[in-house]
Order: sequence, then structure tokens, then C-alpha cells
Amino acid sequence: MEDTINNILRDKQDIKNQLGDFQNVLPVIKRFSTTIDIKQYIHVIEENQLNDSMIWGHSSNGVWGQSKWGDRRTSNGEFTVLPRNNTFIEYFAFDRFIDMTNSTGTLDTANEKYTLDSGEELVSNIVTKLRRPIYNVTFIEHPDLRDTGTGMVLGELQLGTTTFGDDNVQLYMSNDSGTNWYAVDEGEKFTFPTSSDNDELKYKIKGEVEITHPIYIKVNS
Amino acid sequence: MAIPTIGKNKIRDLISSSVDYIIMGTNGDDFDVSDTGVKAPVNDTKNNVVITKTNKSFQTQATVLSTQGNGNTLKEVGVYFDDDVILDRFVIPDLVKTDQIEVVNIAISRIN
Repeated sequence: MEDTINNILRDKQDIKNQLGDFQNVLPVIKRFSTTIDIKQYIHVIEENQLNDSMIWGHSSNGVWGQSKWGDRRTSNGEFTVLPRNNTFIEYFAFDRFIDMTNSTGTLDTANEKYTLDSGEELVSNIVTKLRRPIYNVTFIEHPDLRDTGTGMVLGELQLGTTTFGDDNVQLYMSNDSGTNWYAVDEGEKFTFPTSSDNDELKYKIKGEVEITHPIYIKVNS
Repeated sequence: MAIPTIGKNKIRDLISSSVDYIIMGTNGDDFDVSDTGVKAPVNDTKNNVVITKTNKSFQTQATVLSTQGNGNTLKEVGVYFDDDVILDRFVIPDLVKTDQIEVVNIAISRIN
């Protein structure tokens, strides 16, 4: 909107400038501009323990004759750092945060959508692990649709009370990596019954639906 | 006026082709738009990135090896262009770097 208003004002000024010489031909000037948004939307840190490996110069792992030639990575302490606004975003452009083994729908990264037929579900991988408690989460409407008056909309995915196809679409969240799932409603903050420094956030969607817009999950708001 | 996907992917290519390295640091101050780089860089955590591209997005990945950055409590990460201008700085939970661990940094960027 700001771009459009600025363009109109500049067009008006250009026309004034041209007419200052009383030209017989009225010039028509039209400007075009748009906004490009570049965002770094997720950061993942993998802290790999190297407990049984050969490290030159190390006090124990660099000593000849000791059993330090085994598996290099003995644990993977992956954690996810949320961007500045504490919001995880799934664009469906990568499969990194989707549990492709346990999800039964279809991911289309080229068109950035996920399709669930009747009885299918989308299960995420761990989308957020902060090394501090995850107290609450809120699913957020897609910003582009906030002014359309369509109400309970998450992109084109409608949650909770709205029926698509044969199934009620339902959204679930877990802060213990899927051990316990809790049904939540879009746009409403959900507080987990328990939380700890080891919290690992996952989400799950069941229903017959085509998800064609990003999912936003706000954490600890 | 809008930019079609092919145009956004061209912009993605132009940006990602200049992204060069990641460096970690020990300053945990919050991000600020006036940041000009990692605030307390640990120079030997500097590693070149591997770029993976997908639709309107690209992933940068770099690994701090077991021999790098040891003895530091790492709190920040910076992604840099090849002319040493920073693309992104972000703060992470404290990570005490020893020779027993390696750290893989992954940052995903998107053109909207």
C-alpha cells in the first residue's frame, strides 16, 4: 500500500512538472515498484559429541594404543534457534522439519504445499528445541489472509471447527517430542501442562486438507 | 506488481552465490539492526559454507571442527558474504566448545 501511494504522488509531481511548459500533449506516466522481503527464518545448531574418536594432540583421544578409533559421533545434540520474533515458520520448501517416515500425506516442495487425504496425517520433526522450557505455543493466521474476513483460517487450512472433505481437520502440539499430544485451536495460545529445559516441540495435523500457505508457530509469547 | 517465482529464485541465486562463511563468537547481546558483524568473534571458528538451494530458499551450512574454538563459550553466529559484510547475526544458547564436540551451523534464508 505504501509503495502504491508513493508511486501515485510521484506520478502526480511528474505530470505537474511536464505541464509547467503548457505542452499540448498530456504525458501519462505510471510507475511500478514492489517490495522484496528476505528473511533468515530458522537456525539449527548441531552439537556432535566426539566421545570415542581419534583427535591429534588430545590428552586421551590422541594417544596411540588406546581404543579411540570407534564411532566418531556418539550423540547429536541438535537444537533450533528461533529467529527474532520467536516464531517457527514452515514453508514446505524443505523436508527437514517434516517426519517423512511417520507422515502419510504428500509433500510438494516445488509448489510448497502438503496434501492430506482422508485418514492421513502430517507429523513434524522437532521444530524447536531451545534448551529452555517451552511453556506455550500459538498457531498464527497467515498474515496475507488476516484482512479477508474468512475467520478461522491458517492459510487455506481451517482448524478445529471447520470440516474439509470427510474429516474434521485437527491440530495437535507436543513439547515432549511426541510422547504427549494436545489438541489446540488456531490463533489461541496453548499452555502445556508441564515444561522443562529438555522440551522438544512438534506439531501434528490430521484431516483432509491441502496446506498451501506457511504455518506459523509462535513460542513462549 | 509482483515478482514471480522465477524472479525470486534468480534473486536467491544472486544472494546465495556471494555467501561465503560462518563465524561464531562469545557475545550474547541481542541482535540489533545496527550490528556490523559478530560482536566478539572467535576467529578460528571461521568456516566456509555449503549452500543448498530449494524453491525461493537457500540453506547455508558450516561446521566448526573439534580442533576449532576450544575453550570458548560460544553465544553468537554470523553468516557473511565474500566481501566480509554480514548477512545475518543470531544469538544461540551458550555452547561451551571443547575438543570433544563439533558444531554444525545451519541457517535457512528465504526470498518472499
